[in-house]
Order: sequence, then C-alpha cells, then structure tokens
Amino acid sequence: MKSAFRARALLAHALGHRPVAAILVFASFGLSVSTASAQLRDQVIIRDKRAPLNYQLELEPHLVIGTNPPGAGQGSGAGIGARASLMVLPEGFLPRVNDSVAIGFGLDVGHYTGDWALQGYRDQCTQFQSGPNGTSICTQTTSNGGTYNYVYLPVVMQWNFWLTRRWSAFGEPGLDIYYLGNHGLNFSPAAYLGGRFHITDSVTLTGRIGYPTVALGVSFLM
Amino acid sequence: MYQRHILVAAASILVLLSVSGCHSAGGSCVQGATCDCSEGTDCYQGCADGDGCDLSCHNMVHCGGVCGNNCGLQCHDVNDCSAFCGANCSIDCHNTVSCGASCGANCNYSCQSVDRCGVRVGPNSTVTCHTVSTCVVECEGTCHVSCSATNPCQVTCLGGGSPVLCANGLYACGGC
Repeated sequence: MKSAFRARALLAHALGHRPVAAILVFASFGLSVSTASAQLRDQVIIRDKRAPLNYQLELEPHLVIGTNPPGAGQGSGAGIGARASLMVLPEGFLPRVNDSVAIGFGLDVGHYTGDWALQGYRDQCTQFQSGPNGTSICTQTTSNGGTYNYVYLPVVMQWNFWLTRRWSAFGEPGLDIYYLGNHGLNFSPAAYLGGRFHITDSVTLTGRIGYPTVALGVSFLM
Repeated sequence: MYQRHILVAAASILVLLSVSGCHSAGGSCVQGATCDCSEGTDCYQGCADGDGCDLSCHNMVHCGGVCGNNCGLQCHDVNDCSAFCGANCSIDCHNTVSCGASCGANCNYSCQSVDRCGVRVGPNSTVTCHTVSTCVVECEGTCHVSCSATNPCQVTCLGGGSPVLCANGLYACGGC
C-alpha cells in the first residue's frame, strides 16, 4: 500500500517536470510490479523439504539428436524416443533440499550418417571373405562413412531438484544398452543433465543434454 | 485407443530393427584420385566410381582397399592388409604381419617383408613374394610367381594341373 502511494507521488512529481522522466518512472513502476508478480508466481521451492508434485510416473516422448555414437557407428544423427521414470525416493537424498530420485527406462532410435561427423569420417569394411593362407579380405566398404541405425535402451538414476514452481533440473548417470545391426547388442556409460519448464503441474517441456544423445520432449507427470 | 498407438510404435521399432546396421556402398574415393589413410586403428577405402582409384594405407592396425579395374592399392606398416580388386590392378604390400588379396586378370601383386602372404589372382598375373615367411598363391589361369627368401612358397593352379618351375626360377601356371 505504501509503495503504491510512493509510486503515485513519484509519478505526479515527474509529470510536473518533464514528460521523459514521467515515462521512465511509469515504466520502472510497471516493471517492478510485473517482476514482483512473476516472483510470486514462480516461487522458489528448492529449500522446501518435500517434492512439490505428487506423481509416481513421468512419461516423456521426445526427439533425440546425437553425434559420435558408441561402438562401430560414426557421424551424427537424429531420431525419436521415450523415457519412463518411476519415482523411487520422493524425499530424495538431501534432507534440507527439495530433491527426489527416480529410475528411468528409455527407448530411443536414431539414424546416423557418417559424413555428418564433426571430426571427419573413415569408411569401414562391411563384408569380409577368407583368403588364401588364412588371410581375411575385405570385399565391400561403406560409402561416405556409411549410415547406421541405433536402438538405445538407457537405464538411469534420475536425481531431480525442484528449483521453483516453474523450473526443475535433474542429473542422470546410468547405462545405455544399444543395438547396432550386425554388431548386435552392446552397452556404454550414459550421463545426462536436464531441465524441465512446467507448463502446468503435470505437463513440462523437458530438455536433456549428455551422451550419447541430446533430447527435447514433453513430460507427463502422472 | 492406447493399444493402437502401442501397436504402431512396436511396428515402427520392428521396421527400424530390420534395417539397422551398416549400409555399404562403393567407398568414397573418386576415380583418378589418390586416397591415403594412415594412423588410427582401422581404415578400409573403396572407390566410389568403381574403377581407377589409387588407394594407400599405412601405419595402423587393419586396413584395406576395394576397387574395380585399373586400380593401384598399396599398404605398409600395418598388422593386416587387405586388397580386393578387379582387372589390371597393381597391388603392393610390405612390412606387415599379413597380406591378403584377391584380384582379377592382369594383376601385378608384390608382397615383401611380410609374415604371411595369401593372394588369389586372375589370368595373366604376376606375383612376387620377397622375404616372406609363408607365401600362398592361387592362380585362376596363367600366372607367374617369383619367390625369394620365402619358405614355403606354395602355388596352386586353380584351373587344374600343377605349377611348373621355369628356368628363370619362377613358378608358373599354364606354362613358362
């Protein structure tokens, strides 16, 4: 109430002197009001001890991109996928921080092209035949680094930090099991850092950077 | 409704799985060009236009070249070297553990300072093995094989008959 009187007095004072000053005062008043309003709307909650959202499962369809994939493939690529994260520790690890822990299981498919490599590519042999004297002879190679279709099955621990009502962040260490055609199944370490912008209490825009993929999608908290 | 979405997703995954893996083509080196590959572990080069490439690889673990006709392939200072070529090719492999090659007619193949050398050549070809622990040559038609400081030097005439030892010390399939 006091601030409103003060603002009006400032405004009247400014109008009495110069129009430019009046505009500046009016603008700063408007900015301070809107900032205060935004602060009220986007309340910091990281110091709260409990998770702000009551959900058991997060389902996240997303688009993925990646470069320098694990294993025999090379180049860069893009694809689609989904992640399901099951809440296992709603209170998290830290007693005075609003964190939580989930276990994430995913399925991502990505198509990589060798000549989109950031640091050049090399062709690879795709077919060998046995030669005389126990030798092995390559009879077919890739072209322009070749193309590769990956199927990833990430399994991660998702450690969430509920920062504000609008924003949350997470880290995801884990493992990526992957399938690459003739090369079969293999695995690589996986690590991600991500963030969510909460469109509503149960729908968020979710981004994730890390290896082997970077993802952008929408999460549904259920 | 959800079941339909799950079915569509499962079908998409199956399609992707069925086409996954490497798709091969004819390599990346263009006709008339000399393409060199060195360092690292593996490098297998191919001639994108099919014929007329000059492929070279060295100082790595595994390497090789695949080319059509009228090509030059060279490798040295690697563990395993591989060459696959059509007609009128010149292949040189030296200072490696193993050299394996398959080439067509009028092939000129040289294997030097190698532990294990194995080559299959087409008609009218010439093979040289020098300072090789074991050299095995399979000739599809007439060929001449020169072996020096090589034991054993084993020549097989795939068209039938036995190789002959010519007066100049060369082994030959189809007469000297």
